[in-house]
Amino acid sequence: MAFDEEKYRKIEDYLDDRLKGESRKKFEQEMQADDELSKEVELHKDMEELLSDSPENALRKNLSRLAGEATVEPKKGSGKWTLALLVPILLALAWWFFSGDNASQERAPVPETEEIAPAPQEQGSNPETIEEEKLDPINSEPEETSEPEVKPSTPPPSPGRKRGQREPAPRAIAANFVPNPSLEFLIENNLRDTELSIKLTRKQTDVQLDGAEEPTPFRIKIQLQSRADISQQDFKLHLFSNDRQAFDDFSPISSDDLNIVPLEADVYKIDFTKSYALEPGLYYYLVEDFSEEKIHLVEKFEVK
Amino acid sequence: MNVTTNTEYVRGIVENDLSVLKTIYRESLPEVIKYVRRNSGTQDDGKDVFQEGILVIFRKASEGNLELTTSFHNFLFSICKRIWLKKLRKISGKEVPFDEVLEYSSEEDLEEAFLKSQKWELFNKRFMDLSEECRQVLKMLFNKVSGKEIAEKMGYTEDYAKRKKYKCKQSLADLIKSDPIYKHLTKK
Repeated sequence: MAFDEEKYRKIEDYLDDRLKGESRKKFEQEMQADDELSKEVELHKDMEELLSDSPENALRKNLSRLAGEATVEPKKGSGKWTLALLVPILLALAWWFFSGDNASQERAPVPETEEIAPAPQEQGSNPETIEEEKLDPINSEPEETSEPEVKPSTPPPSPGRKRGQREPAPRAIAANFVPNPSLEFLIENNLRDTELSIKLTRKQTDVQLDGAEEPTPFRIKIQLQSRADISQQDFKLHLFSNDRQAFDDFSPISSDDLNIVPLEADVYKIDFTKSYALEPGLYYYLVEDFSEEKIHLVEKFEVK
Repeated sequence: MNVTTNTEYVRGIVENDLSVLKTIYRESLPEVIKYVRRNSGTQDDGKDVFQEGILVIFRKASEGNLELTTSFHNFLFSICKRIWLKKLRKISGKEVPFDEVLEYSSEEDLEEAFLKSQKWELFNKRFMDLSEECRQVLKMLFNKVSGKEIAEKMGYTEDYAKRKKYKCKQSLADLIKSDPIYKHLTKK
């Protein structure tokens, strides 16, 4: 139903307090009986409030502008967080730059070229080969082909990025078994996303250390379901101990790229294996959509 | 942090001083985003929360009941933290641990505040879809300029100004109402 000019004037008079006494009462009764009218009045009130040049609206305008400007540097952070990110990103960029495929302005091709091979190959030049590699269930880490000299026990997948992050990994981290409340909370609130369904098909089990100096094998499998094509999305796995400060600073023990392999329509999988040198304690792993800065999944395991 | 700086921040917010606002964004936003991201939120959630936090300070200070007992940054951060935890609690339907006594406890209806911000965003977008002429007329109307004055400024007869007012307002109302976001926002 459309409201006529007469009604509009009445709404205006009501909102501007020009409608008095009996007629005001009558109009209020009318609103109570007519949901559409009361919604219309609400809308007019909001329009007047939100579109006038009030000081609050002027402030909103500037805040909205500043928030928009802040998007230009999505990874603006402080301290360790920035540093931890900057190194691998710069290395990846440098690698990408020198790989010869710098004509495209988009960031998206980066993981793709990384996955294919480190050699300066043309982007997407040989899709069949990639497809084959990705669908081969035995070869869970096709990107490893890029660095054949590396032993499989410490799989560092993509070149560049990895190198920057490898440094902290071998260091054993002291940890005990006290739960980290923030991380526990995240575990309980997993799977809040509606567009992407993400499921751990293989969790990391608790690890029993029998000998000292033994690397802890880590393996998870994830199944993802999404309407959107996520095969090129930048997913990362972060490993944390239960240390509150480390999580507060977001300085994980290790961060690794996750390789997303398409399985069938809308379904993808991740199979991730790595060895960590870990001391006994409680550990948490987080799956993050790095480009969207969204943590999709948090789980934990113990090393005893 | 010294008191003058605190006053300077608050003054900047109340007077909408862009350079002070820029400083606030530069100094305090990253930490808020970091906090929100660590707690199930996204960067955009962080920005929304930050904006609400500043608006809370704006309203309090405008009413003259804002007293800072800590640094501005800490104060803003604790407001934002509180806003996010409340929101998170609402989204998840679970008890969120407030693991410390927070500086700021809000009596404001945060739900209402978020809604208002979303409406502001939407209304301004749809407003820009109107003709330049309608925008001028409505700006004056919303700023309580009299019909007579609008007619004079626009070179209309008073009668035409009335009709124009109605037409423009109706176009805007229709634009807003047919926006799916508005439908979503007003769905109760």
